[in-house]
Formats: sequence, C-alpha cells, structure tokens
Amino acid sequence: MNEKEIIQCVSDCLNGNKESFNLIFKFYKKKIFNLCYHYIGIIPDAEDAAVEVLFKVYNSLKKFDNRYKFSTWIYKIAYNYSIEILRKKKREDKYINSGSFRELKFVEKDTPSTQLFELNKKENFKEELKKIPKNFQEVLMLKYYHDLSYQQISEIMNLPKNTVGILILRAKKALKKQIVKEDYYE
Amino acid sequence: MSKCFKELDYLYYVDNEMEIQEREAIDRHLQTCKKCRKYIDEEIKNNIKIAESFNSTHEPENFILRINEKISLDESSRKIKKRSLIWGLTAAAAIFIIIIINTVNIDKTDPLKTIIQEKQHVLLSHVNIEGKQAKIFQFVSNDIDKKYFWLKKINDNREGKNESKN
Repeated sequence: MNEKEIIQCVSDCLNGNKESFNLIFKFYKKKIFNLCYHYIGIIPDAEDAAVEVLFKVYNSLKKFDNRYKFSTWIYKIAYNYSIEILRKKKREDKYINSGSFRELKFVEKDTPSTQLFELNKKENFKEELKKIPKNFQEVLMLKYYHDLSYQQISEIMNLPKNTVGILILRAKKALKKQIVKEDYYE
Repeated sequence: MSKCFKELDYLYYVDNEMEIQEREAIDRHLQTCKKCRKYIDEEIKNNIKIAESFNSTHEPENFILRINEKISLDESSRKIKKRSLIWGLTAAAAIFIIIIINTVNIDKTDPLKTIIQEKQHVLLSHVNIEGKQAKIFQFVSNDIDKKYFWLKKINDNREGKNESKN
C-alpha cells in the first residue's frame, strides 16, 4: 500500500467504514510486531504490545494530521510505547536514554576504507548486530528494515536530521568492528 | 578521475538522502572509480543483510482478530459507561427534585406549625374572613425592630405575610 491508499483507508474509517482499517492492520502488523520485539525481546509480550499499539492508532485516528506521513506517525506511537514498556520492565540498556548520541563528535575519514568488510557473507551477522549498542540497532532497524527516511527517523527519535546520518554511519562502523573482533578470536 | 568522496557522502548517496546535483557528481565519479563502485555495491548488500536481520520469522497469530475484539470490547464498555452516566444523572436529578418538593411542601403544608414551633408568638385574635375562620398571630423575631404577622385560614392552607416595623 502506498501513502495515498493508506490515507484513503484512514478517511474511510473515520467516515464509519471500520473494515477499511483492517487493511492498514494487515499492512503494518508484521513491522510493528518486529519493532516491538526488537525492544521487548519476548514474543508474547511483543505481540501484546503490537496489539496495544494498533489499538492506540485506531483510537487516535482523529488526531492524525495528514500533512505528515502516516508511517512516521504510527512508528512514533510504536516506538514511544515500546520504550515505555521497556522502562516499566526495567530492562534499560545504558545507551537508550542517555544523551550521549545526541552530542556526536564525528570524525570523517576522507575516503572509504580500502578494507571492505563483506558483512553480507557473515553467517553470524544477526548475532553480531545484537551486540552493538541499542541506539545503533534502533537507527539501523528504522532505516533498513522499516525503510524510513532520515527525516522520519529524526521525528520518531527526536533527533536532528543530520545526527541521524552520522548515527547510521557510526552504527555500521560499530557493526564492522564487532565482526572483525569476532573474526580475530575465532 | 575526480577525487573520491567521503564515507558520509556515500552513505547519503546509498540511502537516497542526497540532493540531485550532489548525486550526479557522485554518479560521474563512480563511472571512473572502480574502488568506490565496489564500496557502494558492498554497502547496498550490507543494507539488505541488515534489513533481513531485523525480520523475525515469527508470524503473529490471530492479530487482526485480537485487535477487532479489543476494539469491540472498548466500544461496549464506553456504551455501558455512557448509559450508567445518564442513569446516574437522571437519578440524581430525580432525588434533587423530590427533596425540593418535600421542602416546599413542608413549608406549604404546614408553615404555621413550623413557625409556631420555632418562633415566639402571641395569638392576637380569632377573626372571620369571607365566612371562614382565621387566626391572627403576632410573631416576635430576634430583631426587635420587626414583627411578623401571619394570617392563616383554617382548612384553607393559604397564608399571608405582612411585615411591619415598629
């Protein structure tokens, strides 16, 4: 579904056609579940959280401002709710709520490294991804799994847009470093 | 061959966050720089791998059913609350009206009795008004400047009140 079709479904739902919202549920259910699962880590709890998120979305439809993208709005609700659940379960990672990544001092390399890490050939890629800081995982997930723009990510995570790009680059470097470290000890 | 661009530039390029003019500049460079082309290709593959890593194999079951059940429950609950509120307000209004009526009736049905019980009074005389027997009382209030005269018709429950100052 494209943005236009989603907006049409929202409009139909607000006009009383509640069945049209099932189309939006079907489109977003897996992605919202995966986002919740990333933070919560337990399948049943993540399912409950995803149901709650979509329920909140349904109840808040009237508040949606269609000048903005629907996907940004729904992901922001999911993100905020997942963080709230995490806080309640007292499973905070030291990076999630710290302001450290908001004050990035990024030193650019002039050219790409000559050592190209073919990350995609690593079998334990997924496991290595889990070992990098949570905020790095978050931004990589929002960008490459949820396919959001830097602008959308900045709105969801309340970060300046420039910071998002720098954060993604640092996340990738951290991932490469993690994989190299694992290779060294193998 | 033009100079290679920075890692951050290539990130914006691959992530489609670049302005058109800058993008075209990189396109021109990539036509001549094998190293940077290889770098871009690897970054695209890495991004796909990252995306796949976040995709869980678990398929949430009965999701749509659960959400629709939750919505239905919520709507039923709201209707019940609304009905309870209406009934509650109606009952409160009814009780209020009953209290008011009783208060008025107490005054109306036997005002004199209440006054006689509460205030000092003196029976001045019996009179006959329009063929009906009536009593004239003189009431003395705490305020010595005022005297209240009440006229009550027996069997008629009409009262008149005349206030006079001494």
